[in-house]
Amino acid sequence: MNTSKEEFLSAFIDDESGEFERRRLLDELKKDDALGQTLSRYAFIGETMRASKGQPMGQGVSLLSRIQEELADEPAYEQDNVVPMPARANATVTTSRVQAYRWFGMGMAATVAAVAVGGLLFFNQPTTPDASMAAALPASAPVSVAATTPTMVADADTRIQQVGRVDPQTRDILKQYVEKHVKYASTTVIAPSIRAASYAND
Amino acid sequence: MLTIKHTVSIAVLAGVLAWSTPSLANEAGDLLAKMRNAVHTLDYTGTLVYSQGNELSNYQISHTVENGAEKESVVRLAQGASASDADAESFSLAKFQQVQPQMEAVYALDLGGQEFVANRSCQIIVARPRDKMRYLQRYCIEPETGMLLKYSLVDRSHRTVEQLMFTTLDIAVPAQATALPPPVQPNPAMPAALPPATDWVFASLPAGFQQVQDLRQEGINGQPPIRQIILSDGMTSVSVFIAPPGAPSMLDSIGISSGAMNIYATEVAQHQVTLVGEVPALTLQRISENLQYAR
Repeated sequence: MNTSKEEFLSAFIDDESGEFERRRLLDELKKDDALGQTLSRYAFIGETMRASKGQPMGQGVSLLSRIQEELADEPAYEQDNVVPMPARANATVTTSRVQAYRWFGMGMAATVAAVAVGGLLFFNQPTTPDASMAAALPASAPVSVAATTPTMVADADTRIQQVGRVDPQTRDILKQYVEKHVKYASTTVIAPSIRAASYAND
Repeated sequence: MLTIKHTVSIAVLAGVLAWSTPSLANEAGDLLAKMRNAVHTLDYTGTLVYSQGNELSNYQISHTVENGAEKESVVRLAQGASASDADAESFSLAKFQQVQPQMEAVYALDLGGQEFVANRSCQIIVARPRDKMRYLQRYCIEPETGMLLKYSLVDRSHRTVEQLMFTTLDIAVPAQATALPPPVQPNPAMPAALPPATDWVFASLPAGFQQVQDLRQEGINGQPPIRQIILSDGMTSVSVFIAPPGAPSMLDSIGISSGAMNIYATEVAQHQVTLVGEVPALTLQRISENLQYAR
């Protein structure tokens, strides 16, 4: 994220941006998760600063709510508007000889580049590889399945789907499970009370 | 000559680090232990801001110790005074454990700098996970009282998934406060503890986690009772809820995130199994994959 985006964001939080900048920033927020995090952080800082000046909390939340509402009102993708990807079979049939040469040339260029980079890395190795490896390792390496199979972990993580909306019965069951977890199992210090109050008010 | 000087410098630095690192970790551990004690023994009233994912909320929290019994109320300010119903069911914080040996195997404790929060100075303590099965926990603790002033959970992508910070805080040490936490009052609402499970077993658990409790919970809406197996790594915990066949079912397999809290539901041996915890979703999935019905 560059500086101008942060400036726009700051103006946006302070309700000082114009309609055009606001619309543009909303578009950016939809595409840029990091910008969304920054927005959340700025709002958190703003809330805290307002509170420390003796102003009532919650004034900034209305602006955030408005942003969320505007994002929610954005038109969703309709099935009709989705353009199907060309099938692989069609692509291979229409591949011309010129395109084949082009792919061959690109492959050769990539190979040459890879060899060059590999050579550079080989000749620029640190003279004390043991020391650098030791520094990169944690102080003690616990036995961990995750540490030995990083690729599988990454794949498994992406398989878990985020479900934004669940049916009322499922929601009711999950809510009660969360309350029981917070009440009997949650071990972090003050947060369990806050989490419980938060879910109780949902 | 240059090589010798370089080697000596590294040896001296390594020696200093080897000497200082354990003592800093001990200091961090001691302050964490003091904090876990302080939140039970101190009387405190304050306002805090709480961020969960992209949602912000604001709470008034009050904690007192009367005749050795803790009383606490948590009120969400944005919803007005009527939200005081939230403290109808008091959530005692009396169960928190001291720093456990298995915790030190999976977290590295670091002593950070100092911050100024709610007009008070506090010391940063970081519990850094040694693997990707848990979140980084960052505390800011007032050294004199041990009171927690700021707290956050950070994921592997360095995103803060949950944080809270006091904006105003008044602390008083109760007259009967001692170095030890008040005796734990028997909780009449506590469900029956079951003997160690033999029918449900975990083939393996993520490093540091172990089973700490097995509870029998009343079923939802008159349904058969459910089982709550609690796992902990000393700093965070996971609840594994097992509903018998015939209980109200959910979707086949779902995962939900809300700030630091993740929920993962699946089916094991025709039982609906739901895992809840302030750990990454991957950890819940890994635990569920190793849950086996042995009967």
